[in-house]
Amino acid sequence: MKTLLHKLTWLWTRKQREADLQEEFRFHLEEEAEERRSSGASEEEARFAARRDLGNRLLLQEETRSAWGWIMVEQFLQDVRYALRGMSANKTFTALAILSLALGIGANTAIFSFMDSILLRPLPVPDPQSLVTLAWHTPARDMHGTNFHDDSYDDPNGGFIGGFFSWEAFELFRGNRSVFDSVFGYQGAGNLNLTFQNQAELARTEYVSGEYFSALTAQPAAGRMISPDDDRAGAPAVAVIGYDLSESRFGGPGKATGQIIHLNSIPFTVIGVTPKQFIGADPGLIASIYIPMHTNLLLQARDRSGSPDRYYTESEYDWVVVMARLKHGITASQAQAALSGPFAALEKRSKPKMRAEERPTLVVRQGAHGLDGLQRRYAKPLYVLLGLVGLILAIACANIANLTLQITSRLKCT
Amino acid sequence: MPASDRLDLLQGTLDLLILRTLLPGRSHGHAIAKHIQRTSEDLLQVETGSLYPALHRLEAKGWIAASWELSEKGKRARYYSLTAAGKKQLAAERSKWHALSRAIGLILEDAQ
Repeated sequence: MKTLLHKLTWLWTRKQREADLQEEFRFHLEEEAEERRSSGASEEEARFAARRDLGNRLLLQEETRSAWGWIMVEQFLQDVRYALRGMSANKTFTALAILSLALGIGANTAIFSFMDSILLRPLPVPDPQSLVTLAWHTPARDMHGTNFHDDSYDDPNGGFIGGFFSWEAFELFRGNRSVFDSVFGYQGAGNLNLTFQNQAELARTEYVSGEYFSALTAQPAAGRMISPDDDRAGAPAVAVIGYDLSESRFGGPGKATGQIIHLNSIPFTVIGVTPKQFIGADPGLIASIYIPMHTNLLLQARDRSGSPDRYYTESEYDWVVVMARLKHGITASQAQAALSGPFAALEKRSKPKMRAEERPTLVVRQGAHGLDGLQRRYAKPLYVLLGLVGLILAIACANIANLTLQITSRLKCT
Repeated sequence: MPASDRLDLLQGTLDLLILRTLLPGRSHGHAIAKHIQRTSEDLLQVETGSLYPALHRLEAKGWIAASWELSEKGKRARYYSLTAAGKKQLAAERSKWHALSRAIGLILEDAQ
């Protein structure tokens, strides 16, 4: 530290030091010449000998200066000055170079931040490590047309992974208090027609179970969140809206609560607003409206494919995406072991026609990053994309190198 | 003395010699070179090309300090003097040198 200060003050007084160095060498020459004169050499000889003795003065100066330890910095500053001069001399080139580099870097940053939120960063909720996702696995390849959600896919190790459960299975998990602190479910409701003060827009909506917000520990920005009491058949239709929507349509979270909105012409009361950074359990499906699960009884009352009651009565009907928060000290595999038996029994009872070896088995996995289906689905394309934009940056650099080369060759011609 | 009889300085020994030369008191570059040359009975000649870089290096390390003063003949000269850190360094280098020369001596004079 002390030497650093030392060096800094030296840099400060560089000009002075250059002069000093000159004077020091001059003094040396005079001393040397004087000594030779006094030992009998002629004036001319003495001076010449002294010069010879000192050697290449510029080189000596350079070497002495390098002992000051700032030679690198000095050269760097020279380079910077040179670069700036070159840039101001050729403005078009500079603009082009900056533009192409900016585009390359910008694309990289955009893709990386997208990747970061989907693949790398855990959900922005407290204690994301204790979140798990529930899914089932079956060795049967061909499933009954269930491929309607991100979280269902062909298992690369054979078979099929499904990420949604019947209401009965959800209730089974929810009833278990030994491994989970809380169990919550959700399902996308798609884009619903949101009408407020005679203005309509499409709003991404999500059905959430009553435990959803408390399990994700989301504190409302205003009002209150959906509670288990809101999520039952016949409860008043309520909705929680996203922070951004509250600002764009209602003029702030405080003004949104208590308002009546219409979703596909069905009135809902806004009871609360999510916190600012809240993205739900699924970073790929960021809803702006959250409504209780059971409101699908209202919204899908005129569903052509049958009464919505089947969501809650038919145990063959898988539709709830289930996540849970582990009890402290319990691992995902312990939870899986504890619940596999009851789940298998339920499946046996509810799907008697299915061949025994094809019956689904329960899979409990880390859910800190939210629904892993999203990661699975986007991971590869994202890495490819990142590679591509990396290449774009490389191409931008190559372009600039080419341009520089051309400028240099033009300079040589003139 | 012909140049071929002179000894080349071992790497790192110039610093030690400069520090030792400055132990009795301050001195300027030319005088330091001459002192080393004379004291070594002309066996060692300090090249100017290595003397000044060494002086400035030692100064950068804080072992010697420099100041402009008038020489005996009334000319402005850059005088170097030993700092406290330099004295410590000298003692350390000196004992290292003694250990080294003893070790080399032991091997060279081995009775075998």
